[in-house]
Amino acid sequence: MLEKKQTKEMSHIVGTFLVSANGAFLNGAGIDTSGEDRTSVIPKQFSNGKYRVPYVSAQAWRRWLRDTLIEETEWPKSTLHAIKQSERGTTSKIAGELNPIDYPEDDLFGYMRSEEGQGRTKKAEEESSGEEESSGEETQQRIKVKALIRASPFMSSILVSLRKFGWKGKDEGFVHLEEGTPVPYSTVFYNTNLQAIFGLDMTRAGVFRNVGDRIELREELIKPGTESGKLKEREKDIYELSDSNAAKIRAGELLHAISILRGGAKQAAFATDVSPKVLILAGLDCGNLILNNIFEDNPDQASHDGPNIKVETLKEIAADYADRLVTPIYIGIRKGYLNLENEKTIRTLANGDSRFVVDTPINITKAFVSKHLGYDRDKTAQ
Amino acid sequence: MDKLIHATIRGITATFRIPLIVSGKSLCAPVPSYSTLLGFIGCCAGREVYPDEVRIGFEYRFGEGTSGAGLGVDMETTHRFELKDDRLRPHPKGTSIRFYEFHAYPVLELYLDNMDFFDILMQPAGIPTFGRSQDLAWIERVEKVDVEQKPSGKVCTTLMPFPQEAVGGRMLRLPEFFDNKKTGVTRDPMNIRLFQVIPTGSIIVNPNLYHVKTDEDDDHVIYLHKWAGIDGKE
Repeated sequence: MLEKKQTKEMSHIVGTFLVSANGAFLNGAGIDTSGEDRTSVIPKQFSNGKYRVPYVSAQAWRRWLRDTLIEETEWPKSTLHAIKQSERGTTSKIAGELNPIDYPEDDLFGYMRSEEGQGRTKKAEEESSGEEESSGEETQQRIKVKALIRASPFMSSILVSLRKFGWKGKDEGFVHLEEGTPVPYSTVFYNTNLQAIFGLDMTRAGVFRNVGDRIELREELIKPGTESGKLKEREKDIYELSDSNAAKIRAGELLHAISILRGGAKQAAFATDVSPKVLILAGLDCGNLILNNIFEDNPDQASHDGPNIKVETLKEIAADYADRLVTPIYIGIRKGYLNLENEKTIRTLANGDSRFVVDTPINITKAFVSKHLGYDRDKTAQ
Repeated sequence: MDKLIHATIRGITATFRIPLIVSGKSLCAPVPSYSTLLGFIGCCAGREVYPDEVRIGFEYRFGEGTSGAGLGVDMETTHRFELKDDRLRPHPKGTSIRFYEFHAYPVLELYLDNMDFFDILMQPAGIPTFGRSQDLAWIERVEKVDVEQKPSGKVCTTLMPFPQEAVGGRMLRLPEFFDNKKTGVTRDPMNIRLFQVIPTGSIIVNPNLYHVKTDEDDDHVIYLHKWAGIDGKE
């Protein structure tokens, strides 16, 4: 029988945010091959069944986030190394440090080192399986095929446009040469707001499970880790960082990096500020990403009004998930960005209602991290 | 069986990769496989879930519009390096690109026969996804519904074992589940068999069909998958 959780501890931090991408080109899809000329670059788009909608890959904005995190914290960067060479001496496999003990980036974002030769070992195992159930030698052979995979405790969706149509702009340019005719080129960009959802599994931050076919922590790190006191075995094959605050500090810094996110393609030409203009955070005792589809585009695209937060949806979420929410819902908004009426309504949400906290994106992150993770970034920096 | 758990699960994107296609564009299967759904439930439970615990039925759709499907092809940069003079340098040919097909705005109507999973879906231990790690999903609604068995009926898009008589649909060779009980050994695909994607509106005759009593469409039924066997034998 399955056990029901008795305690109400924060197991996940979930959130959503909105980036203002007016006159932006943040993630390219290469040359537009639909027309006759081959001089236009286009941003990534998908079909929602009716329209072509622009988006930014999760891979792309996770890279922005990783870079922001490392720049802000000055933590050691999990740089890419060659881990295997081909017979000709060229690199055939690469990976980061694969060390979540000393590299918080590896801990938070995960990694994978696939192993070749699994089939060969498996074949040997099958040939011998007819003789005996399982011999010690066979067990040793099996251990050789371990693939090192740590699924990311921080999970993120794509950054998708709120605006389904009417987002497209085209920047026509020419490269003028000293001699000859100018060379034309153009860039399709977007005028929209991009939303993403994310979740951080706090039960996995700083915890490494070598269970099933997922070996999260390299065996050669376990002994030095435990001897140096950085690592301890929680239970069989499950390890955790000895410093119980380490995971909270890592999570706190990650949330801080989201609140000041920077990055994106073509910054020289489009200079887009990708730091969230709206950031909503909450702590839960489960992994359901309840903060989704919170934003809507301003239906009147001719007006200068910004997007809306769906206030009634937020209230409904706060009521429906009251028994799952461990923290208030923190709503960070940049002044003058949302529809003005909508902004006023959001600011009054926190009046007398302890279920909501409203401030700027950076301030709500600081407050959340300080109150619910016990980590005060400003004090630590002093 | 007179009750099922019904959960409505949504996401922004979904990638149900068709196995064995390893070169060129990675293609997305029209529906999730039963092994993917077991993994989904396992993520919510925070442990491995095997077929002997639960039977699964589902309906799947994607795209926001009523016409056409929501499809996209994502591109991911892969960085290539070479070792020169014992130093890792970017490959002179530069980066490469991988292409992944994905569904936009997927919706999964999931039906389970084991009531123990109600609390698990209400309070998932992990963050569930529709395929890849960025295909985040959220559980919008969980309820218990009264059902009755029916010999035939009309199904929405789902996955059934091949062949289903008089019904067309794409065939996929898929495992029913993965055995992941041995530490350090790559999970084993079990019960690899032919499945058939059943299009919406198909009339099916099958002993594993259930009608939700509150459903206004009297002909609408859910196919609850019958596992071939947990030992890999039919």
